[in-house]
Amino acid sequence: MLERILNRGNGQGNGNTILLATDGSKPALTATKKAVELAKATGASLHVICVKEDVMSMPLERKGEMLAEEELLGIHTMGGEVAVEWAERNSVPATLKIYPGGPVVGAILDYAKMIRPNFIVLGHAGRSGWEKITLGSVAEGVMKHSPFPVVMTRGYDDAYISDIIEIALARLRPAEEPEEEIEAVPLEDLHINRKLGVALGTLMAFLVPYFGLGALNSLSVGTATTKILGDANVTVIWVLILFPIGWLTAITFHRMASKAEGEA
Amino acid sequence: MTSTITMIIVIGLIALSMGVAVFTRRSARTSSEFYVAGQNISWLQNALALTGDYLSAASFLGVAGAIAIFGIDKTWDGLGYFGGYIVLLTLLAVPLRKVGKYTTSEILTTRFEGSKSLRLGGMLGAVVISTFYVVPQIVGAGALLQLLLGWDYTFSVLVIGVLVIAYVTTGGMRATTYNQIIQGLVLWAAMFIIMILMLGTTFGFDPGEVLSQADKMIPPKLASGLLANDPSVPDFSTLTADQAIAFVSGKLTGQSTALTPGTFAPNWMNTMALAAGLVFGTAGLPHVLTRYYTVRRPKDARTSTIGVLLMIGSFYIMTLFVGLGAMYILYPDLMGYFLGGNSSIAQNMAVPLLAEHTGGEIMLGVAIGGAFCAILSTVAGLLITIGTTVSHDFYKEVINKKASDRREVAVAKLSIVAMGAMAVGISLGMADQNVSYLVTLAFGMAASIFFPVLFMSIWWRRYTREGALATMITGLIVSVVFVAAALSNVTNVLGLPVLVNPALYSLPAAIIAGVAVSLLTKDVGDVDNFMRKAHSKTD
Repeated sequence: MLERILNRGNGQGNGNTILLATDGSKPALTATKKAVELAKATGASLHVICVKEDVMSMPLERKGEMLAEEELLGIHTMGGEVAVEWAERNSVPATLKIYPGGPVVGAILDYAKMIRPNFIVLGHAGRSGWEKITLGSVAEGVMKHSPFPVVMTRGYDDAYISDIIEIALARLRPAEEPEEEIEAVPLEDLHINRKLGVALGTLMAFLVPYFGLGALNSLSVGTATTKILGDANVTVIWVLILFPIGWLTAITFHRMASKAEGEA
Repeated sequence: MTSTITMIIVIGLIALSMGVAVFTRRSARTSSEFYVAGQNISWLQNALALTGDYLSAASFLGVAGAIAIFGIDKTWDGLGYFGGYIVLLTLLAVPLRKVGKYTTSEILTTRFEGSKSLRLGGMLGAVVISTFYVVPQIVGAGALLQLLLGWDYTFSVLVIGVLVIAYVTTGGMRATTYNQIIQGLVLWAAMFIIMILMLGTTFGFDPGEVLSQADKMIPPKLASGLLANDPSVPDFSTLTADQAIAFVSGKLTGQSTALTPGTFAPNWMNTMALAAGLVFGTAGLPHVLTRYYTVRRPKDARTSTIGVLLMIGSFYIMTLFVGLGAMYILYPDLMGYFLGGNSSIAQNMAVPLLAEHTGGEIMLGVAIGGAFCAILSTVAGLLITIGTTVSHDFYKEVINKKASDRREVAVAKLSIVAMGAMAVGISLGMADQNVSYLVTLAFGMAASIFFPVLFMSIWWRRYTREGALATMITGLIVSVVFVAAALSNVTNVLGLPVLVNPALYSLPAAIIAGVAVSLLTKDVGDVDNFMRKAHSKTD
């Protein structure tokens, strides 16, 4: 019976698949367990999608947000990897897809349309009040827009997820992104002096007329106040021209720096 | 002078900007379309956030306000604030983005590993500069409330202080970055509308007419000083603009007009000090520099900066005309405020007064609302930077290495409250200062404390640990001494005349100290790895 209900959806795509969306929080781990159970029961394979939220913020703001949600989410783990491991333990074939950024709901639906699953499983964190207004709910967003059936778990129960938590604890999401490896290139190949030359050279295109205006204003007020265009005197025109000069300098620098990097 | 309509517009504008910010933050999660936009427009988002951060009360009220009382000489402020981003772009932006994650001092501690003194110096510098930057914002906000509600200045400042601190510390520190984006747009648009209305109502849409009026006026700051004890001065509130200008010009023949340079910075030393402080200051402002860590790809650091340059450049061009136009339209008012002892209004309120003059209560609301947006976004950015610096550089690295995130955020919030309280205290004594002038002093300090040490760390391989420390300390001491002297009206220190900006002394002093000490010492730090990190290929 369960099988019939779950398979009747729009799953005319790539065969018998279930899509799990997870962020590695406790509500998501609940959904992960449920998804694997359902996949096992229906003989489906599992696709796991993990979307890294793409929010522009300062580190302190990120930490603040994380802490504000701690009670709700319980734990920050690498949800995708945890789900794949849990699936493997239960002999369910699983594929992991990680999106590096973008609107979370949109990315989930985008992937869903590609693989056409029988249904989507995800956890509802149960945000309320201010949190809900400012962050909205991914689960509700997917429910609202998904052309596929959606199975939603709500909140979490520590007893239910006690086994999967063990895997999850071994795969905690680091608070900071890991440092990128730096290649041990010889310093000469970095062309530091040449880059500095490009930087200072283009900068002069702005600084010379900039300090030139200062010199003119303080050393020759007579010239500075000579009218050259209607009532606009030399100083006024000079000021007005400095802004476009600055724009051109910046754009030129960007081009030259990109080119220099290309050659380096 | 205030009305219900004005109040509704002010509150509405602030609420709207925050509402849109919340919506934007939310849609980053819940939008159902998967546009890769998040990635492609991140430089634009960042450019706008930087603009919102950067265009402060000083830019919105101070620059045009200062032009309205000093004339063309004060376009230096706008030009310098603008040019600073070019220095930042060419010399620091990309390496800055590549090294470090939290604070500017990380550039120093990555190269000179484990240097507690550099970390502490960095923190101290950031706190001093940012305090000097927060104070003018609060002074501006206090003057605005004074004008808007008729409150006492002290009371206004206290209210603003409490509001701003609450704004930053509550709400889980969420989405202030998005507020900055929206507020950047609001500010730009408000200035644009004020300019168009001003040109339309008074100058027949002819910017040339603004200049031709400006050429006939003696700047109010100069004129009021010269006429202060003159018994023949009439009651300016009974005069029209043309009558007031004619009276003053007749009385003070041969004085500089609004288009004559030199009214504010009277000789080459002052002019160069101001120009140098401003153009090298941006590249040393902690809250501007840390925002580069929010750009995803190093390359975006450059494109974002170009976006900022377009936004603020056009903004400052507008302030030139708005300032000169305001001088004409408000001439009797400004003279009246100066001579009547209300210089705090005359110093900073030309933009809102002009808005009211040309667009009535609605435009007054737009101008004040815009200014509040400027103040909120800038102060939020500054306080968050201070919070990060104190909690990361000082608490986490020096006091308690094992501090939890929760602890770190709590310390950040505490330092934000402390810093805010301190800034409010200082603001109470600064009512009569032009906010743009105060900000230029913060720029001068930033140009001396951070810019040289960052510049040399990034580009000079022979720079040493001791050299870096010498640069910072020299910059800090010399700039603070000369700023203190300028604010307390001391005219010379050790035989050197005190100028409008400390940078002419403190920037070269910092560089010379750094070079000299580096040549005498040997510890160049982890220079090879640092250089690889800072200058490797960008993708």
